[in-house]
Amino acid sequence: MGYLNIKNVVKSYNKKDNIIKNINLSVEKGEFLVIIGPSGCGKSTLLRMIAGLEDINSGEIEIDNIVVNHISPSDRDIAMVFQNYALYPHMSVEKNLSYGLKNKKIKKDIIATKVKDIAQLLQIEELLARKPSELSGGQKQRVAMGRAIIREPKIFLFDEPLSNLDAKLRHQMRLEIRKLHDKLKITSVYVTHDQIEAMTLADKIVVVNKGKIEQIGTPDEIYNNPNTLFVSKFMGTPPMNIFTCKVEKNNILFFDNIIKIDKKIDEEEIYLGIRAEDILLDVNVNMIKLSINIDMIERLGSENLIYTMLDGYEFTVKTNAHIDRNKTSIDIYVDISKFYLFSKTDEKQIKNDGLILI
Amino acid sequence: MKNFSYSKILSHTILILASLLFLVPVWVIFASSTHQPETILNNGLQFLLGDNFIATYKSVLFENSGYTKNITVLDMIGNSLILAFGFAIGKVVISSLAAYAIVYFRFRMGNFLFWLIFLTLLLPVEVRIVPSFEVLAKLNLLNSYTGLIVPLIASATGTFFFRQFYKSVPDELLEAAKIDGANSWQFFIDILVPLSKTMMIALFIVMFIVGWNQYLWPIMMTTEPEYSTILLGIKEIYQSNFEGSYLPEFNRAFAMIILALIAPVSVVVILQRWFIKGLVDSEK
Amino acid sequence: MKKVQFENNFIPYLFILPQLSIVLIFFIWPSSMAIYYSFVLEDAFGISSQFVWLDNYKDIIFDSQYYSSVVFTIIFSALVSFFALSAGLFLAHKANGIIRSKGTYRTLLIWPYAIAPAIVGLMASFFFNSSHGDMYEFLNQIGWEFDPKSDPFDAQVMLVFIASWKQISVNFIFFLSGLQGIPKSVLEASLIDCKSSMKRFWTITFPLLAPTTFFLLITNITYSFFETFGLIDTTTRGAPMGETKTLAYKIYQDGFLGADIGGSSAQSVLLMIFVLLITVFQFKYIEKKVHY
Repeated sequence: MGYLNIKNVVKSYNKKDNIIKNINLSVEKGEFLVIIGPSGCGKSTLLRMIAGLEDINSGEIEIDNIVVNHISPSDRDIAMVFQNYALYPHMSVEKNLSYGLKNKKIKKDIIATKVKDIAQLLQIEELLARKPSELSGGQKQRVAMGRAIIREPKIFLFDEPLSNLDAKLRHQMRLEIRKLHDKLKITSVYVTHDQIEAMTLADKIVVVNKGKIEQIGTPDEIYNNPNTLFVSKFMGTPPMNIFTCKVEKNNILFFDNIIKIDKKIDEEEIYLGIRAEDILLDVNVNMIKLSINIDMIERLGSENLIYTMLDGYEFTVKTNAHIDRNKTSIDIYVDISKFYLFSKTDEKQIKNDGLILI
Repeated sequence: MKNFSYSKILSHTILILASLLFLVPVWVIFASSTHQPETILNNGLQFLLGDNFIATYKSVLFENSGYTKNITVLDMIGNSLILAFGFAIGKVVISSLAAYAIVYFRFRMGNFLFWLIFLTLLLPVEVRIVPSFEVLAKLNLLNSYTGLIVPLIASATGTFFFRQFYKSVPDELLEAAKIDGANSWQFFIDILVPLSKTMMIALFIVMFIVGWNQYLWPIMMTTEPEYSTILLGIKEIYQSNFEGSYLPEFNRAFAMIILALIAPVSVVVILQRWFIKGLVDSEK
Repeated sequence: MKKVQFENNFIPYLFILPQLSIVLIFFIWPSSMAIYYSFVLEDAFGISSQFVWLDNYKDIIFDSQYYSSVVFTIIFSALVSFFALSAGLFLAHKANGIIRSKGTYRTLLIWPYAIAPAIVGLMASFFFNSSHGDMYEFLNQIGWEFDPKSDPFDAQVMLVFIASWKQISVNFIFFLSGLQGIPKSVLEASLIDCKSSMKRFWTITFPLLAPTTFFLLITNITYSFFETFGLIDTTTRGAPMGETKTLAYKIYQDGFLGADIGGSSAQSVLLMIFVLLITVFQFKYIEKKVHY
């Protein structure tokens, strides 16, 4: 039960441009899948196709071994939490919760019990008589989730549910959603553009860009082993520092330093990336030293972000070391074992077994 | 997916039928207007076009008609235009001024005067028609454009319309203007009026239609044919067609109906978006 | 009102003066005259008049013709409102479901609004005419001995039909606009919660249209009471047997054509009170209850 398959799914609004270009995806039962990507990449469209709110041009969507392409949303055994909650404005919270069940002709007393249980679970018991206009954002969000949970669906769909909440509330709701998932274990597909939500909530992340899947993997895999340049730049705040480096056979030139790689590279130039937090202010083995001018420092309390330019490249360094206010330049140390290499032609990661500094 | 197209086809069918329900009568009237009156007398109303188009319309527009036969339908259309324009412009102007006073000023009689103007919503023309005639007679305003237009423009619908709109204008604009040294007249002319342009156009269009379609008021307030609007002219057709003794001039009657229709219908169709805005935004 | 305002005790009067003066001269003055006349009885030549207090009112209320006009007006407006609202809502709902041609249908269904009721009446009088009217012939052919000139019921049905025909377009526009104002996500949520589209319409869409519906109800009632004057004047003119007179039309006939100043003024006052009640009802009761 609850096993979701998306096979070769394509969607376009006019015959020319495809919003979704041949997506293949599987979600195991009980898994929490997060689909993340920039605005307009098609992630919401994908979610809505699973729900049945959008047509599919070709391909199949399967829920629990049933092909659902032609089944109406109300019969797919799914539930959805919308970005702006979409609560029925003219109904009380209680009626909002029970509406779906009433339409399935479930008995009144059973509905009443379920409503009570859900209200208890989400701590919205005192709100049952209120109308949506009398609720705060966080309360509306909980009612929206309650409306979804009470259907006991095979699949939970979340469409950027936390985007309309303020930062503190988002943090709180994130934890609640994870706790609920651990408790209820319903297969979930969660769409967001917020990396923190993706990293903290997901069992598996799908990174989508322009209608195509860039990478599927666990949060750890996505972060520490990005398949493509896009994934490496998209996940991580601040974004990964990227440089274009010249290559000669198996030697990479990085700011006057030569790095030897264990395989032969055919291209003349490649992308080289290193995360801001992997740049250190202390010396260690296998490090490249660079002297940079400090353009700007953002002091965030828990850490500092140093912005600088060198040879036309933007560097961001993340460190929690203390930096004097009047310091204008600094020495940084780059650990070559933390380098990521990407091909300039197809932007895929060039995996290697080790780099050696010459 | 199949169910979707069935219901869509059904929707289209229903909407097309509905459109025909409205189009067909008007078309038939138009088509009939292009025939000789004898055709209609003998064969009933016509669906196809006849050959009398130019002759009919020429005669209708340019020959004298009406009771005393000293005014052409073209003149009547002119009168309708004057009434419609004057009414619409007058409405927009005085309503925006009055609404401005009500919304942006705190003055002693403000609330009372607002309710007084509101009272006019309770008094449609039909209710005060007889004494209005007396008042106009006393003021010597019968058979005049002033008498036709002015009394109509004061009803509260326009005022409510602008009041609603002004209330939605951010307070900060007034605060910024005050800092910039604008007095109330300058704020109105330099800031509020340009902001209200779309609303004014929308209201103007709705009121143009209302003014053009005035029926009872012009009947009462004009006894001389020079001031007949085209709607009045049509009333005379009724008289002559159903109470007269000679061959009813169907084609002319129908032509006049079409002529009376063209202006307001074209305005609504061509300026649709503004028209709808003017209608719907006054709902609130 | 606005938080930020001008404080001035002279200028606002200038702004409000144009409308106010017209209101006083052309609204308040005639209306007060009407109230005055309602308490007065004029002699046959209009030379002298005497104060008769509520006699005019008594005469009207016990007049069977007035009574039948009241009944007709109420039933007429109820039927016209019902048909025009239902048809308008139905068409708006269908049009709203079609994404691409919505604009075309809107154009096709909005223009009847521009036709004056008087013109609608004139056109109708040709279609329902006994000598060459297509509708007349059609109805007689299907077995209905249709004769609006002699049968009051036929005339009344004809009026209801014509008046509704004209009004559908207004309701269509407002309902269409109201439907477009319902948040798309709420409708999508209902797609997931409810399989039957009929049920979805009545439990979600229709309640959310309540503000529009109530507004239109008042509009339709006002239309049936007052704006149908032109329509009646060009078709039945109250005949046969005075059974197709709305209250407004009766005021015109009695006051203008019949020179019964006292009686028609009393009728005007009663009608004013009725409109007052409806407006109060609309503002107080409905506005509060019906907004989410």
